[in-house]
Amino acid sequence: MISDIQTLLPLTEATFFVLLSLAPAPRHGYAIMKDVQGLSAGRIVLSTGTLYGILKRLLEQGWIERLESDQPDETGRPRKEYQLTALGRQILTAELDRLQTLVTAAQQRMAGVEA
Amino acid sequence: MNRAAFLASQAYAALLRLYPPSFRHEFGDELQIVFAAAVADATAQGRLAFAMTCGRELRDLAPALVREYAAHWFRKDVTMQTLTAKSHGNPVLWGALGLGLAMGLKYVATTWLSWSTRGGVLSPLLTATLTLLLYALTGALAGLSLGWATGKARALAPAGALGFVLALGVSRGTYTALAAWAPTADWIILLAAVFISALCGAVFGAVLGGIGWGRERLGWAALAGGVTFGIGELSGRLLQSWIFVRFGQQTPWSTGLAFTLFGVMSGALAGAALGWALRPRRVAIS
Repeated sequence: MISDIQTLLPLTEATFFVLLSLAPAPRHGYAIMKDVQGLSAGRIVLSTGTLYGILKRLLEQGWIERLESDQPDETGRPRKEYQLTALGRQILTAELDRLQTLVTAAQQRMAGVEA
Repeated sequence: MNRAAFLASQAYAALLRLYPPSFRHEFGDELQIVFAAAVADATAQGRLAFAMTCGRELRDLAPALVREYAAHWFRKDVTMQTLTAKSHGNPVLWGALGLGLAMGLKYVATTWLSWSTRGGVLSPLLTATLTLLLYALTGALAGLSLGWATGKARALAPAGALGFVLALGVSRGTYTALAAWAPTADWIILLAAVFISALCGAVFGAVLGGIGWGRERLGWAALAGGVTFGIGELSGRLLQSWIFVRFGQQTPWSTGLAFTLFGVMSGALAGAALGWALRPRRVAIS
């Protein structure tokens, strides 16, 4: 299973931030958009088309799932929210491990250069 | 909601119709709600934030449409990177299809341009500009189809445009000057036309092969382009003579249709040959 997940990495930056945004709790579309902007310190500002393109693919791949919230949206219908599935969480964890390994290796090398 | 935000939301709702129906049905309502919320927030922050929000949506619209239609048609996950960086089929077939279609469109547009010029609707400068744009479009379409099949779409689409403009622009200009200056014996004109077309095809092939793969493919692609464009020109001239001898002066429509069909066939031949010359090759690993 771990080797299967490794073949899905690395994630694109936008996909990584969307998954990261959903890690603590389910969110609706606009909350994801704002959260990604905050997480990336304003560097990644998703348009609606890009955000929903990513959400569509993540739903198809089974990395996230859609929920209907108790709170209605502006049209009076149940607001749709998205949350990570177990597979999505495993993939996010694997990507974080991969990034951590890279950072550790780079820090060790740079420490050697500076010393 | 102020007037500008209202108008932006209306325009956004209209633009949503450009997406594939399946995407629109699944996410259309949510997209409108999210856009309205983004616009409301931006409006509160001022005109610049509002303009940037609308500009971002417009900027991302075209890539999002390409991505969603590709996913819709091919039923698989497609990003712009995978669209332009992977091989997607047989280059001989894609080359034939792309260049055949491009040459057919070129003949239709050339016929229209020729009538417009004759009627004095378009100025010579505008006609020349439109002709060069048409060549660029034809070459880009041919390059894109070959690049789609060989995983070199990003390089071959602009290379095709450049190659076709260089080849047809320069060669047709030379031919026109030669035809005005040289003795008008039919066989000399025929030989000159075939030679110039072969040269034009060789330049087109060389630019495609050279930009896509460097010196490795330049020779074969130039040879494939030269031979097939030469054959195409010779066949076209013979077809033209046969039409005039057999049917006399035809209407512009029937002549245009005959040459468009001929363009599709000769383009398909040239595209297939270029696709063969530019096909991905297996590398033996010892």
